[in-house]
Amino acid sequence: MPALEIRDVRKTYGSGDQTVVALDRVDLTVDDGELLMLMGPSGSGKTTLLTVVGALLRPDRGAVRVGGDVVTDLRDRDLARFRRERVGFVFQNVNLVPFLTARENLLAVRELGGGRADAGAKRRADMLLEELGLAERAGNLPAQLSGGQQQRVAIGRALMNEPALVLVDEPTSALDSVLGRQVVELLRTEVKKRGIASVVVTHDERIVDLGDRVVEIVDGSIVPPTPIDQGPRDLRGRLLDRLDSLRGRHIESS
Amino acid sequence: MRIAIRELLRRPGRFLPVGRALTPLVVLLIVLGGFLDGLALDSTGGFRAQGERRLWVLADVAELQLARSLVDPDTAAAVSAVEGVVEVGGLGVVTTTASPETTGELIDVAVFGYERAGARLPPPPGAGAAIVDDRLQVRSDVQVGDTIEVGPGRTPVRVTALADDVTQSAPTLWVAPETWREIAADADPGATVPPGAFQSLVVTPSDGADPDVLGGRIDAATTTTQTVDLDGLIAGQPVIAQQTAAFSGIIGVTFVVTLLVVALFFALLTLERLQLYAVLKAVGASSGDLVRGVAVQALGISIGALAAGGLAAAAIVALLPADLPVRLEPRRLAAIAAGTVVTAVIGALLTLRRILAIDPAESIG
Amino acid sequence: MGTAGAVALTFAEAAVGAEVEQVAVVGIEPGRPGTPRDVEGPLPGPGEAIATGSGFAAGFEVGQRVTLGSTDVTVVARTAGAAFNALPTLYLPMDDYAALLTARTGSAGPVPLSYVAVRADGVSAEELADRLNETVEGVRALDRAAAVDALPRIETISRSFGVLYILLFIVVTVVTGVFFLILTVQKRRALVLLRAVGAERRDLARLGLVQVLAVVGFGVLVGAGMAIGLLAAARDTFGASLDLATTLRSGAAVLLLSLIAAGAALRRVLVIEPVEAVRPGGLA
Repeated sequence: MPALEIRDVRKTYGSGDQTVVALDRVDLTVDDGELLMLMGPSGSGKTTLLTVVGALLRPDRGAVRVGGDVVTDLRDRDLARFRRERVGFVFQNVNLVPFLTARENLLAVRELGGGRADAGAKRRADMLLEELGLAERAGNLPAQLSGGQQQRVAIGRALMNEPALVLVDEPTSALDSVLGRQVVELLRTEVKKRGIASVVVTHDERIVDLGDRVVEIVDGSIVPPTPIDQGPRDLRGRLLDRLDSLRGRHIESS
Repeated sequence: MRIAIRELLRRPGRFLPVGRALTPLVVLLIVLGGFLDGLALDSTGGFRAQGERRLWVLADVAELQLARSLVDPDTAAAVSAVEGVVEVGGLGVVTTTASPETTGELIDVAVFGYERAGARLPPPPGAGAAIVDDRLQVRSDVQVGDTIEVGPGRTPVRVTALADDVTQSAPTLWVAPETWREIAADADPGATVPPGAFQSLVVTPSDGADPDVLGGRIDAATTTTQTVDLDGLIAGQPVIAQQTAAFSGIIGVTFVVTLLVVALFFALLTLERLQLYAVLKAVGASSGDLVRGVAVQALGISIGALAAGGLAAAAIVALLPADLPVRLEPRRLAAIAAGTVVTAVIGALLTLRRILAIDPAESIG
Repeated sequence: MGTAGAVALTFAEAAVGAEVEQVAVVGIEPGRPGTPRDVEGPLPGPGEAIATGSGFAAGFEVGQRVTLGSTDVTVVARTAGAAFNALPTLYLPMDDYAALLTARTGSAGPVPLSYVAVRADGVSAEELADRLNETVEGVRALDRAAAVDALPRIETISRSFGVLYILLFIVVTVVTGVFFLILTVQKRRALVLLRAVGAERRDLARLGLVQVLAVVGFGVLVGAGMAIGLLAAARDTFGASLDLATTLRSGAAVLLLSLIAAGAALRRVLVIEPVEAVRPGGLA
């Protein structure tokens, strides 16, 4: 069974003449251990797709299955449990709790829903921080961490409850190119190690080669995927051309 | 909940405003309660001096007002014969003025004539002597051995002892029945009490006697009396009832104000934390998690305000003039503390709807 | 120098039909000092009475026949604000009062007076009181205000409420000040933008003060309205009503204290610099 299966999902906003189609009959699957890059221009619906998959929004139509759970069939009161146990989120704005240390930000997701940060949870948090190179910073508040360090804590938080799926929204938007790539490399290492499926929403072409597959979304619809196992140079050139055509200007490929 | 506690401890500045607003409200509640109890206790010292277990027998037409009651010797004999009655003593009171020799000033006093020793009273002194409220010592430096002239006829009484907490709206003097009758006839000729009669009887019940049952037996035996315990007597005094009602009403309104203040502060706090709540919901917090967190914070803030407000109130009460009737009673303080905590938690939970309405999708930038 | 009237006070049970209640009974010389002012109706003759209610009870109506012990009186007039001891009060001619006492004690005799009311003529009340104190043995003369203040419980309760008033005004000041401080912090971005687009400090200060006046003023009006309703609905709890002068003074005090309390918020507004418009924000 795929880790993520999206079938015929449609999501609109507004009504009548003001209706905006954010997602239009989207079909998508992501396997265990696969890192999918979801790319598209602003307003293409990529973030909406992320929020639907993460059970933050309900689609108007269609079905979303994550592991064994049909997300679209869950009652409202089960959605929080789903988000806690089945999905890990890494936000574009990082969104760490500002008054909790790095370690406490990881433990917080274990304490939600009546849970407890027991000895096992603390060991897991310490292990994740070690793997993310933040063992020395475990006791620091977010304000005492750099942008990259904060993003790594966010990744740790997303992995804390051993989710079936990690959703990442624009991980490099607030980071420079070197740091941004490092963070995504780290993410890739962690999800591959654990065999977790991952969907990364981005419009940063510098990191697309870190994905196993690239899916484009334009005007709410999925564009047929381009396989990455063609030569990296050809792929990069084609992707640049495609993005160039989307942006309406020419970029020289190096 | 841990997240909420950590926010409270690590971001105290965010909660200081509501703590600052709650603290003077706590002070006000405590001082109000102090005045409520002080006025009540100051108005009933004479009653309470007889002891908590004793029963009071008054004429049923008096509606528990001593000044309007008359119990004759035959009724007293009938009461003494009731099973469960160990001892019966007469008691009467007259309000008049007195002039201590120490100052010569004219002060209002209540003169009690009584027959039996009480919780804070020794047996009645001899004729021409008086046990005196220690308020007179504070106010007029009256000491044992001094003489006080009482009533329009300036009846002299010699102070043989001082008693504590026996004030009955005015400082009290406790005298033998004969002395009391002499002063009463002088002070209020229109309300003369016949020889042998008193305004009320104070009954000592046998050990284990049920006060309600005994009271019913006494009233059945006499058919002209109303028998109550101490609480019943106090509750039956219109002044006490009116004071208690008025102050309780003010305290109730103050609790409502407290609830609204906390509710408004937490509404503002919730607005400030919308993004944080959206993120927490997005990573799996239920609305219940957030609501419990708010309740815990309200609890923490109210405990802090109670500590600060309690100290401030104690300091203020200590600085007030000694003759102002304010007393900090443990039971009242506990009730105010519990009321403050409950009110603060309820006030904070009025943001429930707003919290429930937070859309986790708003965490997505 | 003045006109005097005898006044005697006692308490009794008054029955109208089957209903019995405690009342204060005052013996007066109708028309002479001691008679209540602003009486709606004639002065009482034999067997008649003026009635007044207290804060807690309305008292008897004109035309009602009231039994006091073995004496019956008919209420022929009403007045307001003349109750004793928070009880409904009946004012009887002294002869009827004496008859009531005689029936109660079982023997006729001189009526013990509670006080003598004196109306000053050609001198002030204080001066007359002083002269009476100097010339008449065994009495204490007080003008009306001093007499009210000298009532032991009144003085104690007035001082007690004085303390409570001070605390109440402290509460108002602190709560209002803290609220407007929080609101200022929340409006900071908007205020920074206003400064960035050209508003001067005094514009923002004026805006803040107008808001304080408007919000607190509105609150005073609503609060006074609610107080009137509450006191009317819970008369047997509070036994009080609003006095216009006191209400206006309290409202003005609340407004003034709120303006003072808003000073902390105002200070924050005055230090806002327009350059802050270009600095970013976040979750923190």
